[in-house]
Amino acid sequence: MNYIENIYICIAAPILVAVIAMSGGRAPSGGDKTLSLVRSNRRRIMLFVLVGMTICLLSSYISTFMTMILEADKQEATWEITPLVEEVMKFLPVLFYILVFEPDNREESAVNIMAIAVGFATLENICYLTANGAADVLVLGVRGFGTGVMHVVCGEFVYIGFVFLWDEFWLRFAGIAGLISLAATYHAIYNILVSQDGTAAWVGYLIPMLTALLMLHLRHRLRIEKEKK
Amino acid sequence: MIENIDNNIQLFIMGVCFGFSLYNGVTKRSRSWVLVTLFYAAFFLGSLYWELFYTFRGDTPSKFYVAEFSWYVSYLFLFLFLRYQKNTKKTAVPCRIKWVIPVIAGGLSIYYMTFGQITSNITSALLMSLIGMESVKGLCSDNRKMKQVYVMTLVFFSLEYTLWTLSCIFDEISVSNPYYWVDMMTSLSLFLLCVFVRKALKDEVAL
Repeated sequence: MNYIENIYICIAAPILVAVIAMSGGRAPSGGDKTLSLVRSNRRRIMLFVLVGMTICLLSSYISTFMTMILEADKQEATWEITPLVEEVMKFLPVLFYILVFEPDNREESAVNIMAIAVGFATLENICYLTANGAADVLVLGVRGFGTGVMHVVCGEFVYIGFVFLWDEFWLRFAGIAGLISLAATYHAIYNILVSQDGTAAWVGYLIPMLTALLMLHLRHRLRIEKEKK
Repeated sequence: MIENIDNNIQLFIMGVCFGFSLYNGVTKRSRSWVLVTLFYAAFFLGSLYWELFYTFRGDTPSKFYVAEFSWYVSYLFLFLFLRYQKNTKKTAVPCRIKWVIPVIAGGLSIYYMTFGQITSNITSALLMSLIGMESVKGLCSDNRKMKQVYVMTLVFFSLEYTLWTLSCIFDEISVSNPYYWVDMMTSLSLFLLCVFVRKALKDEVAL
């Protein structure tokens, strides 16, 4: 039995206190005090990490519910239901933030989705630790750099949408919805591979790290090309 | 056997096109190339998911439509790319013939619905209609630079519908099933589309 709610309370409590206690700083737009609780950069990142953990908890409930409704077995749930539920759920807080707080720039929303991904991966890894123990450092390293990084890479997919497809309204929403689906398929491919034995599992664990390195390289290339022009 | 060959050919072609468009997206830094990259990435990931699911489970996905979502998203990105190429400075040319596309797509989707999967058939009909209409509209306009892309998109549209119709008629897994040959032609059409897109976006300005 994995008491995910208890783990959540234990991990989320200090972050929540820190969010409230932390000095406000300035909102990106300037001095709008009414929005400073969520808009100041320091608090915002921490708050979105906390939101990522909450989303992890809620996703587990929804995935279980969907699995029961669709009468799926464990493998079908991991391969078909969980990836889509998790990726859609991760985006909902960002969508709420965009619609309600109307951020000034694309970078603000892009950072939020990454913070959510980090929070999500953190709680998921802690739950894995409590269920499977923390004795084997190799397994934990693979877990951290595999599943943990996979969530961050999926966040980066949506980040692409914020960077490249933000300017026009129709491109922004259709493009980002498409990228969420792309992230869900990537997540599902990862889940299929890591649930196998031997080489397939190792390939699966390596994919997120390779994708993260590729994205880092591409970002570096983009910066060079930009400077050239 | 033929199914695996067909899937692997498609995966290979989509992988090549994805890599090629990604390279162009990075070096040229244009939004058009980003949209083309996302189109091929979505198609490639959808096909890869389908192939892996089939290989490891020996069955096709039945509970949730992850691969289908990915393919629909690829259609969405193709539509966004075509729409993004529209020349907004020139006045729109009236083009009534474009309405033939949703009639074909809608009619065939009603036929497919008799086999089940109502929501996915409606979604694919909507997205394919958007792609087809945008291509016909493009051909009616005088956007010469994009002409080959519009023609190849319409070829892709026709091959996809031929493919889906054949899947309703033939169900045996053998070389004599025309479904697999049309599927390979669809992959080839997507490769040619990539070639024509490169030609059309030669002078594309960076973001």
